[in-house]
Amino acid sequence: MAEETESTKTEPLKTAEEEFKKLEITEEEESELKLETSDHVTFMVEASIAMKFGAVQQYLEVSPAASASATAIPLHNVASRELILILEYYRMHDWVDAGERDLKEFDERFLKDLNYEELKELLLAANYLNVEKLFNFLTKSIANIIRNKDVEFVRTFFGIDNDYTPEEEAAYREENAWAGVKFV
Amino acid sequence: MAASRDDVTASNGHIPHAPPPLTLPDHLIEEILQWLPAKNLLRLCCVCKSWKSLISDPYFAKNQLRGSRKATRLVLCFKNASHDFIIQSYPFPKVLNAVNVSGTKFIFGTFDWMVGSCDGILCFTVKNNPEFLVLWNPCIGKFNILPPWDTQQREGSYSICGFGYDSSTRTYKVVGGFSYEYDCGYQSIEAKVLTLGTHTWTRIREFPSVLPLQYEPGKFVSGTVNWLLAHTASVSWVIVSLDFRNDSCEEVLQPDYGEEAVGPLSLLVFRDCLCILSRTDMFLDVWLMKDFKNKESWTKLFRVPDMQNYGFCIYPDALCISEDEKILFGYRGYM
Repeated sequence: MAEETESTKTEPLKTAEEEFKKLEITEEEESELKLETSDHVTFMVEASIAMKFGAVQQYLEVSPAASASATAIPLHNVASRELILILEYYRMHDWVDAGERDLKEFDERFLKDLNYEELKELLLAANYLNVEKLFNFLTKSIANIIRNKDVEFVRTFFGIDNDYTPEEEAAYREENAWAGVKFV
Repeated sequence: MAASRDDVTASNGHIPHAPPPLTLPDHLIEEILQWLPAKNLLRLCCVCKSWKSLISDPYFAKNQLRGSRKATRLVLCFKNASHDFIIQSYPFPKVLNAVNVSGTKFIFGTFDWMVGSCDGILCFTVKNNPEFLVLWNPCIGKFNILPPWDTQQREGSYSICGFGYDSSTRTYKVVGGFSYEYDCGYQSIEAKVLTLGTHTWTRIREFPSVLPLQYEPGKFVSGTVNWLLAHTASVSWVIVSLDFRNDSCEEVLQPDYGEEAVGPLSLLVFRDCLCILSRTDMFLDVWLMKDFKNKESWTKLFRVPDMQNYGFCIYPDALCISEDEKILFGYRGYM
């Protein structure tokens, strides 16, 4: 009985070790690309992830030598702070073992850690990098933030000045009053 | 202004920032707004003038609609004989489970008959003013009265109608027609089309001389409006399809039913395909035409035992089919 528990204990350990070895091998095999952000920080990024960035793909189409050489691919409109977040997002979403629930929890936490300004900055970076999944996630998340909020909140959120005259605005609000329409 | 800006940042649990909020370029604003439902968007027209022109743009509306394709089903119910009606949104499974649903209710006093619906917009006629058609978007609570018909419906004449979208011109179109007697009791239909935004009803040339045996709005599929009409002499059914691209009519061939079909057929739309409900002695068959206007693509989707055997004395109407292929039947009740 005691022996049995012993063996079951060592069993998962062994497999974990094997897994780890496998991981090491794949990490060694995985090629990397050098990316340089607008604030001149360089990142070594797994090619499988970097190639998801439309901007990187486009750069490599124009200068294919960059993929093998030590030259960094410049990302002019992305600061290191944003790139770290984008890589965090894509590493999680690329992780094969991540279940639907893990991803949902990750997304929620990811959003919670950002204030509204950071969220908009990240959207601009995602737009520049041309990363579809994150772009859709961010636009959808911002839409959820402003959903059911009043007009004043939305203006403040986006830094928009009201260019309606008070009369125009009142007339417009009146017109769209949320009520049943009675026909005569 | 400054106070509310602080509120925005403070509500997110962060220390308020001094610099003005980052503004986003218009195309990113558009991408964000596209995720919002129509009733939210209508309110957001008040944000500023450029948002209003963006939201009112038909292209934006079309994209927004595409994004919300999997929306709820709207069910129109009449409250009483005076045709006061309410409209409620019913997610399909809830209809089948018959549980209470919360829906936005609107009350019109004077609905008369339904012309059709497309993209969540309803088209119907109004009581006491039969020459007027009304378009109503219940989601945003707005309506529009169309230019009047120039044809009067005569007593005892048949009518057809339909409402749909012409993607070639990116316009909505309404079609309506009444039968007229042309020779010793024989009747034919004169149908006219109105393009939204214009003021003239254009006559459809060569509308086949077949008649609707009961009033049923045309079914909108693949840019066409389809009716089930009959040769009055032989009572043989014909599907007449009006193509909005050129406003011309064509017959859509029916499946080979295989057995002697009895009773009337019904047309319905499921998965953006035209469907036929046919009846044999024992069964109701639902046929679906996968590839529009291709006769070979008719497939029998399913067969259900005819419910007349369960004590119903009238033919059931198929109201809708859910994605998991449950079918909802309705029975017309008479008092």
